[in-house]
Amino acid sequence: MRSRRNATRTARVAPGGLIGALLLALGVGCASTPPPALQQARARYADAAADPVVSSNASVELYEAEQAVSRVERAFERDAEEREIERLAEIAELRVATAEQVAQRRSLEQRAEELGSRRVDVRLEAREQRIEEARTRAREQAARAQAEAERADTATERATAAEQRLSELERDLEAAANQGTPVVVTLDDVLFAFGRADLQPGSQRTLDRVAEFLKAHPERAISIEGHTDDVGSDAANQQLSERRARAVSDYLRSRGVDANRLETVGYGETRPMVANTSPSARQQNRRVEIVIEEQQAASLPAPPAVSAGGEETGPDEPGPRDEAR
Amino acid sequence: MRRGTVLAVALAAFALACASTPPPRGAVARAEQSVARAEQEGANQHAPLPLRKAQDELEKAQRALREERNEDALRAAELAQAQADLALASAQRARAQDLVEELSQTVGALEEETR
Repeated sequence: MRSRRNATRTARVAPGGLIGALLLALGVGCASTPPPALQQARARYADAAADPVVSSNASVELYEAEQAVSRVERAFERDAEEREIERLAEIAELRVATAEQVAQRRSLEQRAEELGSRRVDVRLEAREQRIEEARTRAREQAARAQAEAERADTATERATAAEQRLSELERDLEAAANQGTPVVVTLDDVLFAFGRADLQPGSQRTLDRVAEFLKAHPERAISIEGHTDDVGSDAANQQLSERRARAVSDYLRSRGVDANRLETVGYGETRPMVANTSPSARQQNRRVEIVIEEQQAASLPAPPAVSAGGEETGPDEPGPRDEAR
Repeated sequence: MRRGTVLAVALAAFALACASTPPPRGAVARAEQSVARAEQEGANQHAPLPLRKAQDELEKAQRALREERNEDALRAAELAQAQADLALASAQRARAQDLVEELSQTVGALEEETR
């Protein structure tokens, strides 16, 4: 259908003469062929408008670019000077480029926001992981100390073992003070007899040292976690674990640690250190863990060192923290 | 006689052109502000070419305004404005890019440490 019509038109034009057709084409060309500057501006705009990043992130800027292209079109229609068309076309292209830059900036800012919250998550994970490492270290120390206490025959040997344990605690607290690392202090079997919550005298030296540390570092957050073995009902063990944690908290308060800092929690028999398979294993599970969390700029009571509004950075940053064991 | 008419028409057209374009003080002032803002936002470093072109056009606009060539002043001010807007947008884009790169590195290092 269409090709037939074209064919008849060609047939009709042909006799009219080649010169006439050429003249017509020339005339039409002069009147309506847009200058390259306008063609380029149109093409640049069309590319940007087709880009979903630009159309969704910079709709206002894209609209301004469209208006700038329309100005070039109008100048062309009213036969404006070539220089003027070129100037308006340059403005149109600048508007298109601006829309593209704005769109890219906004999508980069979205990415930055995602990365920012990812950074917070990773930092929290890292903190959890460091506390977990400290907990493991404390358990290893406790197990070693118990093994030594069982081997020890004489009072002197037992005293040496206790001294050794205290010096390990000392080393951990020193690292905690210097590098802001978390520390878990385990008060185990020797400290709580079966079914009892009151502290045994042997625990006092350890707790005195912990109290001293806490008073020297009022910015450190701590939590006191009580645990029991699996003998008795869950409810009774839950209560007992809470009482044990409170006994430690009361003692620390009596040594001058601010009561507001002493948060206690009871875990009952739900988090045993070892399986409750023997009396000595059960003894190990009857314990209180004092978790001294890592140094944090955010947890400072009054912020003298850290300026408000800044990002959370503190002495807890990367620092390698591998102590010799 | 004919020459006189042409001259009169030309003069009238000139007068009309002058009268129809008031001094574009607002447009020049806005272009000045936009150039200054682009400079503040680091366009010197991140978008030196559009900033330079904006400064040149702004200078042309200011000169034309002083010499009461209002049409020229407006044209130059419009170009200066468009160049300055692009310079600002490019500078802000570049800074957003720097921020993303910095954050990627931090997060990467933290993830490495946690692993």
